Amino acid sequence: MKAIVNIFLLLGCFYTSFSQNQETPKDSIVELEDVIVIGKRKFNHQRYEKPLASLDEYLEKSRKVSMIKRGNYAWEPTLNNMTSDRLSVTIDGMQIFGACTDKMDPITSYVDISNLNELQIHSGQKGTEFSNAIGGGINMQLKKGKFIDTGWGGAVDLGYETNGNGKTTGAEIDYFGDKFYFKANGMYRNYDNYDAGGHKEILYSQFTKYNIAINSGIQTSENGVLDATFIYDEANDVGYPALPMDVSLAKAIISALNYTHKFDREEGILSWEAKAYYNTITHIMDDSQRPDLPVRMDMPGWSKTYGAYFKLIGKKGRHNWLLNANSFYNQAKAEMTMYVEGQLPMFMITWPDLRTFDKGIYGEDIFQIDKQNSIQFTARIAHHTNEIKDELGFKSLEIFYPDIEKNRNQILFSSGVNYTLNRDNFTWNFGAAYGERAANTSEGYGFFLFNSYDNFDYIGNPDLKKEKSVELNFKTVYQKNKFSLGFETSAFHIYNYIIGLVDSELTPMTLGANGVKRYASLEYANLFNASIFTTISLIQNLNWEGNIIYSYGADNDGKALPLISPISFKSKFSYQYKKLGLEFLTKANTEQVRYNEAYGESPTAGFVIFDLNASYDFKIQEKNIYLKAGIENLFDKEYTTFADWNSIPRKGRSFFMNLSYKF
Amino acid sequence: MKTLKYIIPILFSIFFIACSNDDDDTTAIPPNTDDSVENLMLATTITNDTHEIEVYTEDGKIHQGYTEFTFRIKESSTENYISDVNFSWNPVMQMPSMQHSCPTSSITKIANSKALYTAYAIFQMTGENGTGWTLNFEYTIANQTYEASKEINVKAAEKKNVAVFMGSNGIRYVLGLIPAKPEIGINDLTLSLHKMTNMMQFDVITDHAITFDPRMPAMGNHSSPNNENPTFDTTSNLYKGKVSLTMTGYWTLNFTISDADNTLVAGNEITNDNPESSVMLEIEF
Repeated sequence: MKAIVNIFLLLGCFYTSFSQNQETPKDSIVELEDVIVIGKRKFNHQRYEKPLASLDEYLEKSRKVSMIKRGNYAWEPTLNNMTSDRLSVTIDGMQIFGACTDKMDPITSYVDISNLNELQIHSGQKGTEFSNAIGGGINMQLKKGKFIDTGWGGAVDLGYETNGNGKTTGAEIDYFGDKFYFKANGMYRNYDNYDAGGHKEILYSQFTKYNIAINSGIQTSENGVLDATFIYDEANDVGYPALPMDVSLAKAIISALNYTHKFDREEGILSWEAKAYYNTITHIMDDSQRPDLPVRMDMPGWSKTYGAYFKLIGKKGRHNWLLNANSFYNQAKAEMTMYVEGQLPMFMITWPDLRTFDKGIYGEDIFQIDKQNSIQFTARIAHHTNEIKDELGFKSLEIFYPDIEKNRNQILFSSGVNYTLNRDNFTWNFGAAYGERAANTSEGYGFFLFNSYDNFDYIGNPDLKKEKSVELNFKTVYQKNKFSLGFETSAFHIYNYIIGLVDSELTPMTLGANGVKRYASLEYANLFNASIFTTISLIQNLNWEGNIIYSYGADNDGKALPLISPISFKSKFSYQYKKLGLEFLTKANTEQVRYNEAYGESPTAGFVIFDLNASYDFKIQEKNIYLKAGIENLFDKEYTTFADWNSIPRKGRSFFMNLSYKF
Repeated sequence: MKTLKYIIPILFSIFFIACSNDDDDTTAIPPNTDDSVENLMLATTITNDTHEIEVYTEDGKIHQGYTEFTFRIKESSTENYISDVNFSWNPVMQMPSMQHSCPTSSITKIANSKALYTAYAIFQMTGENGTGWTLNFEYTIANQTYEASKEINVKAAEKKNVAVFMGSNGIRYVLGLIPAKPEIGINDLTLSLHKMTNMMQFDVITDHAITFDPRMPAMGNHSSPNNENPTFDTTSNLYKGKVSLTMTGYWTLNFTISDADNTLVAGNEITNDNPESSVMLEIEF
């Protein structure tokens, strides 16, 4: 059993593991593949609350994921209240690392929702198939074509949103033969500044984004498929109201070559897959759009990743197993140049062309003890190296760490066990795991990275010890007919918890910063979350889904960790009558009472917001037209959440309308 | 590859000629000695009835602040360089109402050379267009003493590399920054510290304590960690320490000077209200 939260975009519905309605398969691997085949040529994002929504918005609807916002664009996902530092975020198993030292480009920003088939969200050590992590893994599975011999087809999507004058245009064209397919789609999004509740314009919240994705495959033999993927993603003029600068260019080129071979047998190796990939990211920040600054600043960053994996899936008796050997090589470089009238430019290396080389192997075995009991084992071991290539970058870090060495080697190990019992409409799940991770580029080697969340400059620490996590989780779900009720909880005790601590000896470089923090290891930190979730069929065609989540995070002094959510509540009434769909959503957070000023947090007030939307499916001459309209933040509430940098308020009331045409 | 052998020297000579063109005093280097002056450029030649003193510096110019000199002397009649000379020198600044000298080292023969001599001077002020500074030499060859002198140009420094200040003890000090090529990272910091004993005599201070604080005024006047305060080095008669430069750009070095009894005589610590020490030198790179 994989305790996964799946968002099956292809089925067109938003699923979490609790929304077990009739279409939802139980989350086993085999059934999961069945799901993908069903979808064939349906629009995969049209029946979600707001079709054409950005990927960030999709993710945020997941029960487990919340998003940190620095603006209207490129939100950073968190899972189990942990940010990307502690997560393994991959695209189709590909490692890809942002090129922004200020985390303005989480990798979710380099794909468009139209590129994706589904999101696989794995909590804790179950998410370490592709790299070591503490909090879990988010794998964004790309949408691929099929050998269904339907010939040419295509689709056009148009969307408009009043708040921020948001325009979205998309087009897709594809050819599906029986031995060959080709699909290409493009997406263009353009948003002006949005208004927070009460018509307050949030300056520098605009963005423009293009995305082109091409995927082509050939059936090389009865059982083998070779396919290639190419994604070009470019965002320009991305404003960041929470930061003193904006992004003039964020560009990603993602490419992959993949071969999958499936055997027609019940036992033994069922399939193998090999992939080689390369991606490159260029991220350029500047403050040229901001008025009257004493210092002008340019901050370019580059990140390139080469990688490959080889994956085997097999079955033997009551064992379902998976092996994944993977490796990636990442180059991360960033610099900063500041200009003051009448002086030579001030130049600094902020990421020292760090080369990270990781070679690991992940194994998983699900042992079906009997009809009701199963147990899952997972383990990953990796050799992880860092090398500083840039000489100036090395000398810069030497100022802070005179004994620093250019190379560092670490072995990372993680392992988990999970027991599942299905009995009398109940599913019980008990898990325990141990995981390790190495410090990332910024934590280990960053140099004067400004964090506007707490208003501190950060210095990396190349001596950081491995972070080690002990994790316990428990989940139970009761399901009968169209009713389900569940409870899930997980607890992490993390040794050597990496966090920035104030170094009062140092003075900040950034104008107006409060001081300098150095990454350091806390002796330990504790993270805990618990949620209750339910789906109820109220009357014919009317369903209600709701969840309530409690989160807790404390450092070794019992003080609050940053970016821990207060109690949050979500509710969704959905009504379907023939081709008409109606949804009413509510989202609420309590006041954030546990916060830590030392990490730059201020209390945030509670809020309740409402969304309303309607959709209709037309069919004109066998072609599909799909229309959807809605209102978000119905009462134009001005609100900000615990995860918003500098407490920049979120979007006020917005009307949206989307039209999709499929041919 | 063969042509490279010819091209490189040609390129070099073009480079040198091109450099020397912007100062009238400098000409190409005469090659008629075993001693190598290849890395140096002629700043000026001082002649008297009997001898010519060639004055070399690294770039053919004499700079405000620290300048290292290389000298050689030849007999005008024979064109022979003389290898056994006893030099003394005194640069003098002529001001409207008075005249004064500057801190210098004594002239010593360069080890393993035949006829090359070296010394440094720290010019507290500029003196362009041949007005102001005069180089005065007194030298003895075979028990006979000669004199020679010439006015020189002392080029203004773009950044403050020498500080003249009065200590609270009433002593007038000259603090000089020995030029180095700064780069991002930990750099050697070398300083000279002299006291003005009288207008014509400057003596090396050996027993003072120097602290410094590098700051970047354009970026919030931030400092850098792991600097090493300069201490007196008896072989060079200079103070040597380390300065950490986290980025390129304009930095101020803010000093405090304490005497042998550890009493602060000049300079101040940096605070929010006092962003710069009264004893300050500058680096920009």
